[in-house]
Amino acid sequence: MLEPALHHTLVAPSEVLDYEQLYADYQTGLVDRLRGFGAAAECLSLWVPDEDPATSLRNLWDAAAAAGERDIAVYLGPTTTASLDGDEVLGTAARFGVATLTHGRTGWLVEVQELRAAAPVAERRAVAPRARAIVHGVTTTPAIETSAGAIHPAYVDAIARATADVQHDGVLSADAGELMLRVEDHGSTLSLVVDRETHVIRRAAFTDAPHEGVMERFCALVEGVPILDAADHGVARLELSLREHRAHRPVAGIVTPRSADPCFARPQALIRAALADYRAQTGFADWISTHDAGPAAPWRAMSPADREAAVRTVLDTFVAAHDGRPGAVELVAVEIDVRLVLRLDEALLSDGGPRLVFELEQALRDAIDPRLEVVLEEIRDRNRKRRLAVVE
Amino acid sequence: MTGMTDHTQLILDGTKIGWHLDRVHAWERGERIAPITIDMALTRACNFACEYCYAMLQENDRKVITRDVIFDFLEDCAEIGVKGISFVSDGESTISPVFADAIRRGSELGLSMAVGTNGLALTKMRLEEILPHLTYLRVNISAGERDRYAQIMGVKPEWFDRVCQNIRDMMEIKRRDDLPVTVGMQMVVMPSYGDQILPLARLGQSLRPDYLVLKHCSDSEDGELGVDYDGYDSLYDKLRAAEALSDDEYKVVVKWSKIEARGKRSYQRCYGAPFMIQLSGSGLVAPCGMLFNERYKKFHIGNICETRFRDIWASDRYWDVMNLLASPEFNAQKMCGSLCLQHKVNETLDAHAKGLVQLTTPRGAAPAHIDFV
Ligand code: SF4
Repeated sequence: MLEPALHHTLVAPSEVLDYEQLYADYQTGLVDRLRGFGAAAECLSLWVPDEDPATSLRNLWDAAAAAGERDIAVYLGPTTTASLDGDEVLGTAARFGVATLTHGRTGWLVEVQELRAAAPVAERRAVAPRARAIVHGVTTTPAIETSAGAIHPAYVDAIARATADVQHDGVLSADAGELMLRVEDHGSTLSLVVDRETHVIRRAAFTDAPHEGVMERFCALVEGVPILDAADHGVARLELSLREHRAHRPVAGIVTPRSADPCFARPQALIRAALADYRAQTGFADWISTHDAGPAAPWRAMSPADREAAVRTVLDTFVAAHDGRPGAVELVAVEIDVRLVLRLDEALLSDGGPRLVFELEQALRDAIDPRLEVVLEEIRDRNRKRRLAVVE
Repeated sequence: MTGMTDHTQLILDGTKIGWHLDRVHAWERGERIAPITIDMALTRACNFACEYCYAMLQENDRKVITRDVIFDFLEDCAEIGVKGISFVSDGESTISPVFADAIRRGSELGLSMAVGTNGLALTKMRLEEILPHLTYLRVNISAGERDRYAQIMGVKPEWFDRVCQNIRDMMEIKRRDDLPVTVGMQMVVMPSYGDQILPLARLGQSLRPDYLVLKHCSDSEDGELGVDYDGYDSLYDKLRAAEALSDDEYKVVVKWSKIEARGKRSYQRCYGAPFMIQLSGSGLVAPCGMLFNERYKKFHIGNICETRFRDIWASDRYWDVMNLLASPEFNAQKMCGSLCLQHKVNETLDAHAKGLVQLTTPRGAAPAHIDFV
């Protein structure tokens, strides 16, 4: 509310703007309103306040002038005036027109008439200095070191298990309609039998691998996969399948077969050579792999009720392990066959945050199917005008 | 005189990742790299209500980016080696009370600063403050006629005149002070806006910004904005006619590569995010804007209103999320909306990782805006 005394001083402007109210409304609007946001007063549609009241007022007069207003009156309450110098305020206001400042009991009334854009002055307001010194140029942290020549510990056990059960060594022969490829790199060979129609690898075998377990697992993984996808993504899948724990990453940054361990270089070279050979022999010219194996047969075969029950079991175990209340995670929908839309209890979510959703997805993938995805219920735009403008 | 001198090339439909091979090599070695570019907003709010606005799909918990928060953030960026920061993302940063200070502070710290805006609140006085500190300023203006502008951008028709005046002022200040800033206009082309392509290209001829870029509209993975990518076919003639209005100092550029991609991706892994991340105007740090909505909470890494960015960047959580996107457990073809900001970087890095292209140091002078990959 304005001080009554100040009301009597008004001459030209029909409306006195309460700066503190405007500022508070603006700040609230920044959080509460999404689209069609603006200052409460129509004449201030161009106004952007500032945490510094002097700058904020300067912006206000500039915005009013730019919007074509002829005069403007602003009441500044005690909180604002406490950090301002009256002469400076008047000086700034005078750059925009004929300015007067009236002192009231608790605040000031600043009127500017015959508003105009202020002549440009070098606005080089210093930004407040900060205490902390800045160290430039530190762009990376080093990757975890491994001893030269040794396979990274993240893969050792899985490679040993695969080596103990080799089933894909040797050479292959092709049947009618199939094409046999045999490529070599540094003495190792990879043989593939590929279906000419579907470009899918039917069988795979290797000889003379430096790490038999690596090639064994690779051959097992590429069988049933289109040759283009095997060349593009097969070795990355191999890396993940040989990593003992997903979270036990061999490097500090991004894991790729190349960064992970030199043992992945051989299958990579072999499968790329095989694809090149396949292109040369068949004229195969696709370059973009869109292969997605989708969920495995057990998930595909389940009825909706069975799926819900399987998901429910995992959710309940997960919630119990995280001390959540029973039913703290609900399955809301299953989209596109594999996307589980979940609703999480606020308490559980605020305790665990995004990491909890991440872990929940891993738990569902490990227990049911690696192709499952987890999303939460969407928060929609709260602005009605915006929402009406689109197809719901 | 324009900021684009003869020896620098303005790449508007492509990526500059090849000019940052040191960081690409560090990424290949599995080191923790700082993003080259961060795209962010200072608020989620906007004074417009554009029909095609992607931000409506990006709702997440609102928090306020104060001056202290943004200063801490900028200092952290400079410290870890971020090079460029663009205020675009999911809100209209020019209406944030910390906007001008953030631009100046970033520039003082040696960061390249840029803005994408509807341009309404950029009065001449505010332009005087910020233009000397900017690498580029791009005005989103998706129509060349007043009434259509009001309709498409959800505002009063008079605001069209104000924005046009502001663009004239930008160019006047740039020329007067011989500033290196590039001033551009951008139209988000929806198939139904075909009638505005040529009027806007002609408007650009009279306002004289450095360029007008005509780009596709992104959509969510479920097509919630209803973008009809096949509908762009009927616009090709108009888009070519608009390009023909280019002259020596005003370029009309169509992002053909994205329009022709029809919302499709050639890659399944997302390698681009560690090079180029996005922050919401709520302070949320996520790999990209398409994942801002609470629906994608599993990808949310932290919030600069609560945690220093350098700590978020150095956290396991940050690298868990980035690794998930780069792993065979993620498939951008199935799990992402169409044509994200990182698309061209992703395409290039994916082709490099597949051995289809060899990234080598590009020849010639570095392109303009090199810090915005
Ligand atoms: S590919 Fe997907 S995750 Fe990566 S930046 Fe684009 S939309 Fe985001």
